[in-house]
Amino acid sequence: MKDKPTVLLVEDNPVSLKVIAATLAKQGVQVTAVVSGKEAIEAVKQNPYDLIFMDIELPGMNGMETTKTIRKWESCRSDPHTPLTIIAMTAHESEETGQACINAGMDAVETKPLRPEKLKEILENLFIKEPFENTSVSSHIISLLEKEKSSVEPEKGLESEVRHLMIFMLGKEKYALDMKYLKKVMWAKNITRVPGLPPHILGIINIRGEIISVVDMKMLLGLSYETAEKPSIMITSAHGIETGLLVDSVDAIIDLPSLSIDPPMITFEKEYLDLIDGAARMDETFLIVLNYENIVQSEMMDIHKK
Amino acid sequence: MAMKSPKENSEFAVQSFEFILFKVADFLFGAPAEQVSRIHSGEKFKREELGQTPVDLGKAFYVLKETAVARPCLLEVKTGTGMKFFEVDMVEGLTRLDLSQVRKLPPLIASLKANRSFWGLALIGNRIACLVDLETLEMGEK
Repeated sequence: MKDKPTVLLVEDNPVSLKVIAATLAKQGVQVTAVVSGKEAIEAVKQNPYDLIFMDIELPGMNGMETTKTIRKWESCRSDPHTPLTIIAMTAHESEETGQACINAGMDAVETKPLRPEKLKEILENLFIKEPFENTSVSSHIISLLEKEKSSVEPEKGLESEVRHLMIFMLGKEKYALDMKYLKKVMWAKNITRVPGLPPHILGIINIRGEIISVVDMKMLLGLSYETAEKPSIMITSAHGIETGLLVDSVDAIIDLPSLSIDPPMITFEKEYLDLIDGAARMDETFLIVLNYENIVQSEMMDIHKK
Repeated sequence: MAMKSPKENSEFAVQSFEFILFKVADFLFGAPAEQVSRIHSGEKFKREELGQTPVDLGKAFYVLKETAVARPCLLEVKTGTGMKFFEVDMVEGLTRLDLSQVRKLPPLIASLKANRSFWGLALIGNRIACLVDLETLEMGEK
């Protein structure tokens, strides 16, 4: 008898895979992760999973085709079994996509990014309301203790281990900043230059009568890329002070486990190391995660000290 | 033009202030009108007769490292230590600003500004003017 529910996670994006796997593991399930439809089919044939989270946009055989193959295999099985629960994960929140997933044999469709609270809800609906059978008193007590522990601080632990980040581009490089500092994003226009400031302070903007300083992030980080055709300004705020950050483009919002952020690489110059929390591998590139608090308190900004 | 600058005015019953607007390169500046006793422009004044070298506001605010030609306008300002002259590129004229049009410098600008005489900003239509106190302006600050 299994101690924990088993979940097969099928996701080709390494960052999403890490995030979802870490979140699922936190919920007390045993996770197996694969990155393609072919691997998923092999895994299902060899192991009795309780649940599958299936990304629909997989390379080669996509999530819908994979699900159809799994359902076909299930229908040919001679041994008694309960059909697998397959939940689609998609970035496209459309009725059409949802219906296509159901038609392919999936049981439910969830839109990415899958937030921890949503995953918890799915797992509770599937497993907690009908507790899995324990053959011994000790395993029952252990499960009760685990439940109690998770009810004491269910979200706090997750919050500290997963960072909600806004990804933005500076030249060809991907950077990220914690979402909690971001107020809004706007096109960069009508920036008034102010004389006598360091080159990384681009000037000021007037947002409905409120004057906000604008920092050129490329200059601040010593990057020599040319200015983008249509740059954006991210309006950030900390300790009551708002600052506009000029970036080439704003890309996406992601949840990233802190554990997947490695310390800053030694290739960064020493003066910029304090501004960087670390780097995470993402697709074919690296995502550089910035430390906003250190940026605003750096020598180059020095807002709060003075 | 007997108004006090907002910075010095303790009687905030006065809700509007007169400023001289002028440009140095592409930058729009404003100075309390009461500080400027005279505006010299064109060829009506002779620099050699001023008895002192005028302050180039472009240099004071690091707008340009060098200016090949002297700026065409001079603002004459009476200070506690005598008269001072400031070179500017163009004088736009006199304007009255409501207090609601004037803003303090945002913290980042206040922290990193080149000259302490730069004390505020004025919202004039779609433009923003840098407000400076010419009486206290000193060269070479950083």
